[in-house]
Amino acid sequence: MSREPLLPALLFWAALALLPLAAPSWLTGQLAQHLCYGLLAMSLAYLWGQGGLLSFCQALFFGVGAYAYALVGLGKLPLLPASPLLGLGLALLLPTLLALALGLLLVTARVPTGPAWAVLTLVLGVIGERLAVASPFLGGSNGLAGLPPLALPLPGGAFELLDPVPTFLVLLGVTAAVQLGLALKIASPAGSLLRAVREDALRAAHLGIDPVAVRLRAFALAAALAGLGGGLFAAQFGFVAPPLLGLGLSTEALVWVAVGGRGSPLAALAGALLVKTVEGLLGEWLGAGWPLALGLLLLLVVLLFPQGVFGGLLARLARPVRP
Amino acid sequence: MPAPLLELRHLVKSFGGVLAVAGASLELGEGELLALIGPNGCGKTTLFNLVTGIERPEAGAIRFAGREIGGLPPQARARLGIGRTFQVPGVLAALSARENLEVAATAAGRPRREVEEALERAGLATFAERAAGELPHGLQQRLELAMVLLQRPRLLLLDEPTAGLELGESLAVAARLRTLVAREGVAALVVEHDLAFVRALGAEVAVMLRGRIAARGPYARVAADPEVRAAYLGSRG
Repeated sequence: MSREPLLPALLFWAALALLPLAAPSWLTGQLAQHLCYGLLAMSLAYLWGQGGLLSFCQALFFGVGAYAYALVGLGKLPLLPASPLLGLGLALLLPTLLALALGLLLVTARVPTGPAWAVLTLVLGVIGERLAVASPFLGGSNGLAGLPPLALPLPGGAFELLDPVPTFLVLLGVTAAVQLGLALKIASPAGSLLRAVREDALRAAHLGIDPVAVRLRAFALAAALAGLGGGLFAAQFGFVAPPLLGLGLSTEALVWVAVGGRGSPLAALAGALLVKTVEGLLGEWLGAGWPLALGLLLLLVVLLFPQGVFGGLLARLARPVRP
Repeated sequence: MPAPLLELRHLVKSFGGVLAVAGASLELGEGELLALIGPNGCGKTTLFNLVTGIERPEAGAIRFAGREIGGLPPQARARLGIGRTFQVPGVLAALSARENLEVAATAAGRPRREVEEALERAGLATFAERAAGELPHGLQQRLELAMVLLQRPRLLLLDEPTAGLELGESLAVAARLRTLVAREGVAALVVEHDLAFVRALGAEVAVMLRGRIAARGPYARVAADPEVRAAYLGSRG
């Protein structure tokens, strides 16, 4: 999809903003956490749907963002003061730099962007998780706990995000800004170039486009957004652990995106919220049997909605009316 | 005499021990139109791939506008002014016709209004929102050429521009190409099998045989060359 329709997005955000009025505060808190997963899902939809780069290591950047927030928040990094906002800044920066380095490595090794690329990203994710488990500095398999919450610098003093409703509203603002920003990016000339490279890198090169540079930029942007999601997740959860970097979460993110629709970051975000909510409900109803039921549901969704549950709908809304 | 726009010297390229291009040399001047013919497998498309950078030569030199370009990637050669169409039209199938042109315009730093002009000129205005891959073959070819022209190339490499077209259509393509070369001063190298088209082009003809340029000159003279007749024209009349 080259244009994200604006109206459904605005309606979606307006409806979510009103939710704390009706929902119990535990649900609002849970949704705030799911919005962090939503950022991860949007980053993957941009990379996979728009850029054609299937990544099995998107959680690596989410996790690096979470650990960056934790290390700064706990004052474990030399020269940096223990500041949650600075932590969030590093949660954006570190995954971006990591993505550029890994991307250059994959490009220099001339890894084609097909199955080989996907398998290598999978390996990178596993390595990241193992490194975190093996590192005493990162707290090993126990991770790091006792992280400070995010604090907004307001005129009357810092406002700590501890209660579910303000946390949810801040998360909503950040996620909505990212979604609308991505929609603009997708509709811009840079978005067209990324889709051109996805369609046919060689043909794009013959038009004067540097496919490697275009892909690297997309990889880095997606990593930055995943890292932001990870940083915000750590701020809310107060705890980080190696599974945040690992293959399990990366695969979950792929499922959210496939269910929602990879062609649109908004659809992917809605997919993440849907799957996480259904997961919770199935857990309540079915007890230990919920993964099996969820698996069957996912299978049905992928068979019935190849463009995703929300992706097909949005594509229909975005399609120009033919004369 | 000014230096040629494109100068190929003793190019060599092999695949798995088979020589596809075996010491080919060719020159093309600014604004010159040249048809390149030869039997299947004689190395024409590989020669194009060497010029545009899909393949790297094992030996020989490729100079464009006085500069050695053999080591540059395809996008750098495109930016220097080498435009190319493919045997199977190289449109971006899932993108609309308009978006295909927008991509080409963005890549070449052209303003958006040129996209609308290109749609009109190529007769694609009514198909602008259709996915390029859904367009009929002839329209895909027109779209591809319109994309390449947005690059304002100094050299056009056209790989079988009449493949899949009826005789009338291919003669119209020849006329359009002649006009383009005369009006814009673009040099063009056209690989073609269709000899009616080559005659209609009214340009010089180079014949490629077994990876070399075996003959070059006006169509009538080349057609009379005994080696060419034996290897190629003899079997096609």
